[in-house]
Amino acid sequence: MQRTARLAMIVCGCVSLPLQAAEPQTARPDAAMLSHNCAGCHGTFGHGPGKIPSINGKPESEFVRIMRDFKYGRRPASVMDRIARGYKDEDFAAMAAFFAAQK
Amino acid sequence: MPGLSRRRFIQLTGAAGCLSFFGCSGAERKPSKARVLIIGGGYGGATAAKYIKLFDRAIDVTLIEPSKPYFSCSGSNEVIAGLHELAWLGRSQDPLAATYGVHLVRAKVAAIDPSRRRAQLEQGLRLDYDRLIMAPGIDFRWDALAGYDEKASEIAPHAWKAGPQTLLLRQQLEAMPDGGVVMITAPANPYRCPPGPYERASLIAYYLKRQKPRSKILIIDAKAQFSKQALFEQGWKDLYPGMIEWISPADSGSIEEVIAEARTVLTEFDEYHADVLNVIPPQKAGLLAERTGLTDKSGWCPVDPRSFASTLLPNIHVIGDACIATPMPKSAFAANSQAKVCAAAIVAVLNGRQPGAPSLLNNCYSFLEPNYAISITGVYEVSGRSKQIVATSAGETPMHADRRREADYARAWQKNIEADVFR
Ligand SMILES: Cc1cc2nc3c(=O)[nH]c(=O)nc-3n(C[C@H](O)[C@H](O)[C@H](O)COP(=O)(O)OP(=O)(O)OC[C@H]3O[C@@H](n4cnc5c(N)ncnc54)[C@H](O)[C@@H]3O)c2cc1C
Repeated sequence: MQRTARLAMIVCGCVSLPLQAAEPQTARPDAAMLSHNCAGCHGTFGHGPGKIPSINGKPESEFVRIMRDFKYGRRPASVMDRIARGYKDEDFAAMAAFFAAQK
Repeated sequence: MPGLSRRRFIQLTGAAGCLSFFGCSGAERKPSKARVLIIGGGYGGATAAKYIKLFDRAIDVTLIEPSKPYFSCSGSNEVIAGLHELAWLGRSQDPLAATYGVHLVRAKVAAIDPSRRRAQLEQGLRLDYDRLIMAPGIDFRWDALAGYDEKASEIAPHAWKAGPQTLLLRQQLEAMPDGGVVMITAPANPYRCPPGPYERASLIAYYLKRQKPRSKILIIDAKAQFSKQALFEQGWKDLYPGMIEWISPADSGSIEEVIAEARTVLTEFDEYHADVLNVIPPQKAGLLAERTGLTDKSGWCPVDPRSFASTLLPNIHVIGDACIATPMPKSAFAANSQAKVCAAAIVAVLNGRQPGAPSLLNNCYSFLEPNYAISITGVYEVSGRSKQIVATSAGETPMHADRRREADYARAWQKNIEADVFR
């Protein structure tokens, strides 16, 4: 978990975190916060057996591309397109770094 | 550990788990940072226990849950339809002790003393806390629907908490003759699992279509519209033509009274009779939350969604079905997501940090038959201005989408969420 916490700080820019918290309009959830929600379907840290694809260890650029394709309707889907539309593009980079670091 | 002898505590927790309340038997551990007590080992509470430990192992986490096993409500409609046995719904929190060092206490909490920060177990034992997470799920408002009390539920089951009630409804369906009428009453919002009554009607239809094809299903609803309505109605037309009839209060008026022995429901304008009656009654937060003073006049617990801290009492957080997290539905998925926000916020505060911005998610599948499922999705964050939960996207299965693939996803979700919560 420490690794994850560190990762979150790197992604969000550790020094600016407390400042962001004081300005709630601009604060984005950190990488760990965003990514742990994915576990509901994709498994803890992205390890999921079964027909929902695992997302742990996925290269960052691929992760970001796929999520953007879902979001902007370029990749056929019935669930992930709806979910991707709920996030900002910058969130995908944060999640990508989180899952790329999970082996 | 006031009020709790060591031997008694060990009896309650069993052999599993490191008993760091007394200095861990391994003795290699530093004294714990803080004690977090979690009441309820369902989807919300068990997730919170696991994720606090994942975020910071030095925090002492105790999970209190009387049921062993805990029966998952999610999946229970499939058991009612005979697709699985009850044991398939059983979940154990034991792996959380073995893998993460969560202390498990098999007991029911009788009362909380918020000023002393102390929980009193039914056996009279007491546990102190620095932070308390309440995840007691729901209880029924036995006084809200005339004629429907706990005793009536033994004749006309609710089956809205999984376990013996699930089996009772299934047995009644199995005993019903072909050509019988199954009646389901659905409550007004908010309640546990908004699409649940309609998934139930669908899966009962799946069973009846094969076993008792002349039978019918009536849904008497307290609301004029329901979750994923267009998708359900389309599915019913395709899969079960003429079998399921949904009755809106616009047609029959409000539900006034239940006569359980006669399996009769009286509405403002009509009287309906059935062979099997499933009453899904009005609900409220789990009794302990109410007794503790965590509920408002709605019967549910108001919280600050940035941490799920109660807005009524200090040092207590409420997650899952018991809390008010509108516009999130009361679902296992939502409880799991809320638990992670709550766990992260508690860990931040106990480490002297300010909690980060939350992100919340829900994705609920409903089966209409084993190879046909639909879903509803919501992504949420907390508005910086209003401090309320807002949906940043929400949607349902598109009409043209592949229902078989969603059914595969739904089955995979059941497995993955089980692992994310209980292992
Ligand atoms: C038919 C049906 C189908 C459903 N299908 C889905 C689905 O497909 N997807 C989905 O996401 N959700 C589904 N749900 C909803 C889901 O089951 C609930 O939203 C979820 O269980 C809520 O989790 P919780 O932790 O808040 O409460 P619960 O899971 O009810 O857990 C609460 C626990 O607290 C314990 N407790 C209560 N009081 C005390 C006390 N005083 N002391 C100690 N312990 C106590 C109880 O024993 C219980 O185990 C369904 C529900 C139903 C009824």
